[in-house]
Amino acid sequence: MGAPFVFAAMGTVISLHSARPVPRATQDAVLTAFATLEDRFSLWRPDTEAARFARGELALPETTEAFRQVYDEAVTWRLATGGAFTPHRPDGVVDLSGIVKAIALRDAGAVLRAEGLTDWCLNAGGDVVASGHRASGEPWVVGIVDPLDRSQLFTEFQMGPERWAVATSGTAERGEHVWRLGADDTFVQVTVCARDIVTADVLATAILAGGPEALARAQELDDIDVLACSAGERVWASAVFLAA
Amino acid sequence: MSSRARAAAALASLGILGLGWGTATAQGQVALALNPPTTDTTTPSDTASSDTTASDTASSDTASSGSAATSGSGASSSSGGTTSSSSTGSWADGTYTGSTARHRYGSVTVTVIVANGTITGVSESVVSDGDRKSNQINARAVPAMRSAVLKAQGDDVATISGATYTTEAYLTSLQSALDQAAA
Repeated sequence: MGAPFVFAAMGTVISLHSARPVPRATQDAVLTAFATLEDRFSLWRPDTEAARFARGELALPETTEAFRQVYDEAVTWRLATGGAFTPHRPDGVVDLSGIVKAIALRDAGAVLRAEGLTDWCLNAGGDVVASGHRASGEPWVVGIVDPLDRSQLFTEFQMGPERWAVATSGTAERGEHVWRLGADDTFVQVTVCARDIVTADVLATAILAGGPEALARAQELDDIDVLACSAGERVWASAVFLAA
Repeated sequence: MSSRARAAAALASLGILGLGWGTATAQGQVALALNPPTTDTTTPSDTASSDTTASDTASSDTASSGSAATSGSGASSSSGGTTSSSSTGSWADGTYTGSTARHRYGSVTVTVIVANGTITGVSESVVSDGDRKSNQINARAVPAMRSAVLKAQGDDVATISGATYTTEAYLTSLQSALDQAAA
């Protein structure tokens, strides 16, 4: 495997590993996929559309089509998860950052596919989307951080058909953008493996926020593997994570 | 869901499984036996895919009427290379997987997790032929102990998933170490 392409965006670091060298133009296109969304949705920069919307300077009908598409997607997920995932902060501000990074990963994946790259693994701050295999022909294996000791791996997950995305939400998460539903604090870290990264990311957030009830609901919603960790010895794990 | 409701749901699904087994037994097609428990010392690669393993060990023509989940010393007949647990008193800690039972609607595999001598989790994987919903049931997360989770091999890990790190925290993250190793 060659050197990964690593860059900073959205307050975190993005790493692209590929079985084949990624041409410079393709690297730029991946950068652009993240930059385009960050330019529109960052709340850290006062001039973005999302920041103006959050301050009430723009009403929803005045926002761009691109903004409303993401907003609609977030609200659809809020309904699907019974509110366990929500773009609405307790203080009333609409914060789409819980879904924007996943959408950027999805867009970047589409860019790579459009450029004819079939074997790659893209990680944005701990959320991963992959395609195909490593240069060795082996599958992409995702290590999952131990929530009780973040310098260690807890377990791992192998990417493959129907499972090209892995997202982890934890209470250690930057900015605490997971707002807990009620007082459920059963889980301190939730990993969801799914077909696509937006599903994985949203449902990981929802399960962390909503606890076992949200876990049951998420598994009704879609075909996913889950590893949900408590602060103690208990975990909730799909068969793929368990010694059998 | 409250723990009581969860327990009720688990019992209900076991009831359904019981029915499935009963049906299949009547057809003389069921072989149920408990595999020996896997412990922490078991290498994860041996147990990589429970799905595949389960169907590989399935044997539809070996008849046995043992009731897997409740018998500590029964279910002595083995099938497809599986053996029964020989423990007679309380259960040894570990994850026990029953051999796959096939019936007319698909197949059923039960996994029982034992910690501190008591059953802490029961999961069933129900594969109905050609039913997408069955995959979802199969993937259901069940309560377990940390020690029951497969350990990372480490050396074949290509990337790391964890709670989002900041740009600064990346420098000390496992992902950073991996990126540098690959560079």
